[in-house]
Amino acid sequence: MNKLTIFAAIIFVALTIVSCSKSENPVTPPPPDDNLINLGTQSGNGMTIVLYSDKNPFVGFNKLFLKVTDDASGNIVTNAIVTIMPLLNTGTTNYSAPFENPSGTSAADGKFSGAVVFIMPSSSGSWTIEVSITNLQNNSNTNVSFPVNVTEPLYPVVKQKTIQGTTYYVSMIEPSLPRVGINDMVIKVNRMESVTNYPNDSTYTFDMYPWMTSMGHGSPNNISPVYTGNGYYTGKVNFTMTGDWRINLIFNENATPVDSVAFDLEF
Amino acid sequence: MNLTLKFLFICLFSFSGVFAQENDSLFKEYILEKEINVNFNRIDLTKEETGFHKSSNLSSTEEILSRFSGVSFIRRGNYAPEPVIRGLNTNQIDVTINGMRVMSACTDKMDPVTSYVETQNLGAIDISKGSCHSEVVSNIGGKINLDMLTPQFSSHFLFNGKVFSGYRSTSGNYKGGLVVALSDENYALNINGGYNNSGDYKTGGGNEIENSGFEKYNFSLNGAYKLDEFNILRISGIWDDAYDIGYPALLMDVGSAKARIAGLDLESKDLFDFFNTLNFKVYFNTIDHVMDDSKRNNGFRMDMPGKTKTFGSSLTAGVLFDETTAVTAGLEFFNSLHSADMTMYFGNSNPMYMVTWPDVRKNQFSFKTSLRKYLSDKFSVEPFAGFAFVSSDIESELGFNSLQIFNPNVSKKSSRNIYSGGINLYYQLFDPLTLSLSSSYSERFPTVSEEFGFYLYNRLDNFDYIGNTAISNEKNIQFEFRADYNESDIAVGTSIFIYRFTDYILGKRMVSVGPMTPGSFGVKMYENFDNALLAGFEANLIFLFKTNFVFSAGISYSYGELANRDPLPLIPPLNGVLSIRFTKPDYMVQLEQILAAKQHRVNTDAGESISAGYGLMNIRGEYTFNDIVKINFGVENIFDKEYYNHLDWLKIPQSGRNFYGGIDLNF
Repeated sequence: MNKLTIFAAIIFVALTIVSCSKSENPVTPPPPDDNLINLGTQSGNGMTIVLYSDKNPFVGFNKLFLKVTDDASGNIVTNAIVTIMPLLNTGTTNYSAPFENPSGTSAADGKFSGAVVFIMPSSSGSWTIEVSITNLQNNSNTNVSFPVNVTEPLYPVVKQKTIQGTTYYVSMIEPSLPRVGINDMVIKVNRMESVTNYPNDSTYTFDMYPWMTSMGHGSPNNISPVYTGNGYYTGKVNFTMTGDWRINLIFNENATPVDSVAFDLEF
Repeated sequence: MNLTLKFLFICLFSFSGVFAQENDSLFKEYILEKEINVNFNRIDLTKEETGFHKSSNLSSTEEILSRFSGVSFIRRGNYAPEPVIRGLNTNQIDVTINGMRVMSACTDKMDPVTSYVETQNLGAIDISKGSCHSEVVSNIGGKINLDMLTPQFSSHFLFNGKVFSGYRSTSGNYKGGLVVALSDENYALNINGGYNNSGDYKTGGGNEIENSGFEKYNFSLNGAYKLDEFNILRISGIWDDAYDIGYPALLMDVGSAKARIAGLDLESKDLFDFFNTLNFKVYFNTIDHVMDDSKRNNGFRMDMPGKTKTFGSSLTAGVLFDETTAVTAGLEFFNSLHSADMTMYFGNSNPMYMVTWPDVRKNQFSFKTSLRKYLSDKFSVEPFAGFAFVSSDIESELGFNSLQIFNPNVSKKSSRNIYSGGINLYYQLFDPLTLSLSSSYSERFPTVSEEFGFYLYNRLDNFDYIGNTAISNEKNIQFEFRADYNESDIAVGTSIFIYRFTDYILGKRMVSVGPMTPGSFGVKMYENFDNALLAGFEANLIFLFKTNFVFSAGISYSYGELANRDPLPLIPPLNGVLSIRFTKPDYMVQLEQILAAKQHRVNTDAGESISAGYGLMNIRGEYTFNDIVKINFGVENIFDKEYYNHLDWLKIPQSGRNFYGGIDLNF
């Protein structure tokens, strides 16, 4: 009989040990998504240029990547001056859009990266990305043009706002994959000087209020985006649950609200 | 009783109760507070003489408990009220079944553990008030242990049982079931099942309270096998399913609440000629609780399911070193998983999903030991000390991300320790009068809601509550003085207690945070409050006269105060029960008066308002026709008074005049 008691005691100890030495579950981050979308290939002056984006081009802030290959050697060109310029031909007018040239002259991971804020979908006209490349190894240069098809997302992520006669474009870059919890909030503001010139703008400060429209409540402890340079404002936006959210952004001039935009999203 | 005998009795009784010699006189069974252990109350419900507690076969577990002085209930409906000892609720008290830890699965406290035990499988109730009197480390406010029926061995094979059935008028409440017992020299088995169905009840004056009905099935099994003269193996199980439970004081009801509870116990005595008693226990249970508002018209639909899974083990042992010295020790381990979430559906929008308990896994380990030493015939001391450790892992990524919004420094793994200790002194002034003084320090872990909860709505103050992962353990220093006078025809027990809390846990409004739940006032986060005070007394009297009459009276009072002089919330008012019982061999009549005073000490921040007092009169009777047929009947709230208790949320009145009747058929 005493054996049974001892056996029971062993189980108790074993249970204690098992529960204490519960195997750790290390959270391995998912592999980085480098499955870029090929938007076309162009050739010129002994170079082959491939344009990539991380998502199918949409109205909003798009990251673009250019891979340049030297045809003669077959080597990837990593030292070059690369500039881009988006163009929209509506049949009557040639527009451009806010964009960012690759910074510096070296290609990280063999690609030069830039960005474009498409401000209209392709249904309004034809978009092209004009690319100019100067290979600093041999000083050869070329200009190529990529037609791109730009679609409109379900929820707009770029808003146009005219305040005191000036038109601004506010692009919401993050959250691009909203989730419950604390999200990075990144916006970029550009001013329209002309239909072809959209410089970065830091005229306004922003207050941000996320709101769940169906339930009529907000979320706490958000950090309104503040200017960090190059047209960018960063902050934190908190979502307490899944569902439909609206991020309200108030334009302040000298701490006085002058206008607002709102971004809707659903997840 | 001479000292040795008395001491043996104390040890046997407080170690396990199982081997305790039931040599008390019938009258003793009436006595609520046993002299042997301050505040340690054990009521054996299988004894006919405890009729005062088990007033009728229709009584719920909670109705029986409410007759202990110092025990009250917070009611959110006509089902599963939350037990409160001296004003301390289930955050501060432990509720166990057969010593097994069972974790409530509802974030809104709609399923206290007491709701998973039906009276047909309830054998005894142990209540310890305060932190001084438990075998294992207990919570600040004490412990309620619901002991299931203990099957009894018999010298030859026995098969018996009963069918019972009863009806209550105000709610159309039908309750019925079957109890079967089998026993032999070496084994005993008790199987029972019951069905309990109630419609919406009517208050005094006849108003019907919508969404107050329920339906419930409960099955349980208790078995015992005698391994040898010294060792008994016991198994116990509960299968409890309740459906469509209404909670009129909340915004939501419960679609289903299911509990599956199983345990195995080994009871040894004289193991290795060293351990006088030893009890080893392993158990496992799951609770599955589905809260929804499908029967309400809230303008949206919401599901809030909650689940817990617990397994654990405990080992308690007692050693009698000599005739004046005994040591008890208890080791306990359990692992529990607490999960709850909320999904809201509104129009055609995407469902809104929120994690309210982020799959918190707790591993808790505790150790407690106590020594009882008789320094003289009349004077004994009992020092004790305990320690507990808990680790908490947040296993839901989404829940963890949500918590970061309010708790930027939250980490997925955390741990806490608690320490407790104290001393009980017992002094027999003269033969029937025993005085005792207890003093202890204790702490409690924050609950899952207090530490990790996310937007848990409280209908009473109309705030959403957020857990605070940086909160400190609540700490408490207790003093209690007690006097018990027991004679053959009169027993009086009184106690005076004072608890001083530090880091008292209570919600504090976050002024900057807007409301989430539609219509709520805002958001509160659990915070530690500097200190708080709880003081009060209980007194009981039982008086036997003219052989057939028993008069019993109980009164209890608690006074609670925060550091800023605001009253503590949800403190029961001065209340009492008076009853007189006339017993003859084949029948019994009992008249009861239940009294509660006005409660004017209320905490308006917690949504309380002043409550009126009330008095109720009940009459109960029993008649035994023969060995087979026995009936019970009565009228509760005879004068059909419309009343509510201070602890009834939203002041929804309780049942009006209730006629009840039941029949037992024994075989």
